[in-house]
Amino acid sequence: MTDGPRILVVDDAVTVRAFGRRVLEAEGFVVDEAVNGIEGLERAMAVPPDLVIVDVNMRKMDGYTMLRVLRRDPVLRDVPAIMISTESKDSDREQALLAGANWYIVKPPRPEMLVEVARLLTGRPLGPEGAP
Amino acid sequence: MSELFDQFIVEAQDLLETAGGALLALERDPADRASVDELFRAFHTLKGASALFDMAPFTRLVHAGEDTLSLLRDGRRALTPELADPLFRVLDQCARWVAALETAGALPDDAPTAADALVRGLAGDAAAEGTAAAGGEAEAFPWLAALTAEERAGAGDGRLTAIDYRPDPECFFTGDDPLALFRRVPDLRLLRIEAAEPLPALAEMDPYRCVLHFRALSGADAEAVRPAFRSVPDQVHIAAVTLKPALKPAVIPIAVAPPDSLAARMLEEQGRILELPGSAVERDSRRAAVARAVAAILASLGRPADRRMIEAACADAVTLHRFLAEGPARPATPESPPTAIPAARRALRVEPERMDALMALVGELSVVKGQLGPLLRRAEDGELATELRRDLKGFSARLDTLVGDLRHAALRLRLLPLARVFDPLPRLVRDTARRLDKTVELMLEGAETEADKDILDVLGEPLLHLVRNALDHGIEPPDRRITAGKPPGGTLRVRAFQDKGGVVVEVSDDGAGIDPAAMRRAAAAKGLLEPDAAAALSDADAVRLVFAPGFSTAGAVSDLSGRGVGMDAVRAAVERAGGRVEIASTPGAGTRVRLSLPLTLSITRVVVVEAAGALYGIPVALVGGIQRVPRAAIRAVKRAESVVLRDRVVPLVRLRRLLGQPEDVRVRESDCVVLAELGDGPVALAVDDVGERADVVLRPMTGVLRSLRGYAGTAALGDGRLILVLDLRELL
Repeated sequence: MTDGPRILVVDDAVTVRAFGRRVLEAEGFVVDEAVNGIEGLERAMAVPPDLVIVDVNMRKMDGYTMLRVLRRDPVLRDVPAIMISTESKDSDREQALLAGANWYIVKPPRPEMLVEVARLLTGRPLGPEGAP
Repeated sequence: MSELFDQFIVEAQDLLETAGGALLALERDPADRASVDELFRAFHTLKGASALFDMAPFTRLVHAGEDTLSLLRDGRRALTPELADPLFRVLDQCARWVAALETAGALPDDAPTAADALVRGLAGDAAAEGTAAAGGEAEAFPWLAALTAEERAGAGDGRLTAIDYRPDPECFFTGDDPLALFRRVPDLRLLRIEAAEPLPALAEMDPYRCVLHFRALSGADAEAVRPAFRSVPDQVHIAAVTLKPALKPAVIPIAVAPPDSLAARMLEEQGRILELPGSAVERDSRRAAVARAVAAILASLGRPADRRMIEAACADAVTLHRFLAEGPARPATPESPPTAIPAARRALRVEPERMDALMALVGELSVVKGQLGPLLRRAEDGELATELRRDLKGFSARLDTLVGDLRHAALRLRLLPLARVFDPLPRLVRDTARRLDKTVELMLEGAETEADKDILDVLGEPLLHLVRNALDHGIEPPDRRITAGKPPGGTLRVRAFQDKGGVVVEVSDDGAGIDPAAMRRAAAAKGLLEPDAAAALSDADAVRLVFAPGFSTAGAVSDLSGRGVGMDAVRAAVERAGGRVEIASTPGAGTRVRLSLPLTLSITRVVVVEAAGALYGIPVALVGGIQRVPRAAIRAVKRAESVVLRDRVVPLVRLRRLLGQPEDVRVRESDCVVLAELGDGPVALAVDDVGERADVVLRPMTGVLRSLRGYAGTAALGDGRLILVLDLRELL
């Protein structure tokens, strides 16, 4: 039994992290957590994830900065990233993509949608039985 | 025709490289006649060659470059950094175009506008403005790149007229009504009204001053739009522009996913990301992330595609969409010929004599194979076993040699000079130093050293990172250097050479160096080490902390240490490829980082050893010698043993003990010892027995094995037996 894809959830809200862990672990993903950008980068550098899910507003280092640093890192620069935020404006989405996100999700995410996005960005077959 | 085109691609790449080198040399010494001539010739040749094909924007741009260079050649202008910048941009653009030509066979759709903008930049004066304006100039309307999806949809695609109108603040007194002017614009598709300057507080607002900026798009011709602004020609800029097609599923359906499905929308978004503005570095890394995301999504949809094809398709949004619209090749079926995907074709330039050597060996192989038939017949005829065995042995030996030679010849095909990873450095150093206001001389040595293509790929990023770090944090600004009694300009040396079957790259600077005391303090402050442990570190070990995970990520530390973020990432990348990183630094005098990598990733040469009945492999690169040591020569102090080898006292470690296996109870006269040369000095590794040397394909540990430490991977020997390849650095 090999491990599933590793997802790093970076959010200062413990609820959001717990939500991510519950939803994603149920689908066989291995979930790692960090509470801010600095910790997120440290975790990612220690164990490169297959996908990062990053909140925007966090103390110490926000999500934009974290993604920018991630994209400059020689090893982690191509790790797919999702930015997650309460803002739904086009300009916020644009900011996220400019910082290096591959996809933008408005909080709160629907569990099945989060799972589908995670499957797509980690190359996992869609659907519970693995059928597309 | 296609052969000619291929030739052009190769030639253009060479010429652009030559031109880039000459431009750098010229910038360093503007009086360098030889470089001027070389640069001019490169542009001139490129112009002539490109004119053979249907790529007018390319030819036009190179032609403009040639014109500028003729001013230099005739001494009518000198090369200033301000003039060098646009020339570098022209070279960059041409390089991107050549890449697009190689993968897609045509210039991207925006080539005419891009060429116009660069031509204007080259001329750098108003004279060129009038001629270029007619060609359409998205560059003059940066806001066009930032249109929202709705605005784009409303404006439609293709040929439009852009209007940029900044009314005179006093316009209300001269009788102009800006908004009314737009009512007269035919086929108005978009009107944006924004404050031209930060609005003052309401109390200070002057309602008679117009502080608005109008931006609009019309579907009519520029000539039809102009009359509406006849009264304010000096305040308005009107020009034809081409909007790239909006990336909506309705325009280019994505064949790989159902329309409007989440997957389809995510794929479209990846295309949009490629269009986002940013520095070359930012766009590059976004492109890498997009390529990986697209690869994952396609795999998820059950339509995996070749990674290199995806990377080529991620050149720009249009190419990506075309790629997704056609749908990547279905999972390969036996019928589908590999020639069906020319887009992914990548040329590897090989020296003819290497190819000849390989072909000669292939010829030899068929001769040797011819001997197998008679041998078989003799076996069927019931020939005497002894004679048959003798001849089979000879046959096998010949085949062994041949396979070895073939492997070597094939490997040599993949060997490329390190010049490939060195080439971007002069430009990187130039641009970075200019940005940081530092003077830095780059010295490159050993660019002709060769390594496997895979190794070059591994090396590229860490090398850029080290060079950037040295410029950013190592080399001090000129004033600080002068205070320190150094010459104002710093020196950065990048040196490559071959060593022990591997390749070594050193990056050294004469900058501030790393202060071990500051490193100890930082390690303690960050909680990585107890203060006592930090204080006990040797200077060398303290400096080595820059590689510790999590150490260099904190901003405050990076300034102290003289090293930026991500040294641990450099180490991780190099170690993953089976290499190692060393660092040496003298405060005030500079820093040297040394990367040692194997010559190739795919094949590792190992010494097979035995311990407790199992076989293990030790990479030959780490083996300094193998010998039998009489028991009497081994000295034991408690459980620690040592042995004198070649006049050195070397610690002796028993592999069984290292691996947690039972001790060898047999009474033996001598021990079989492998001398392992690690970075920190040799170690004598006692094993039960030493077997053959073998070339193996190393496979990383997977599944439950992955958590085991001390192993580099598994490998199969020629006869099918499995061995575990030891990671001695981890074990010892």
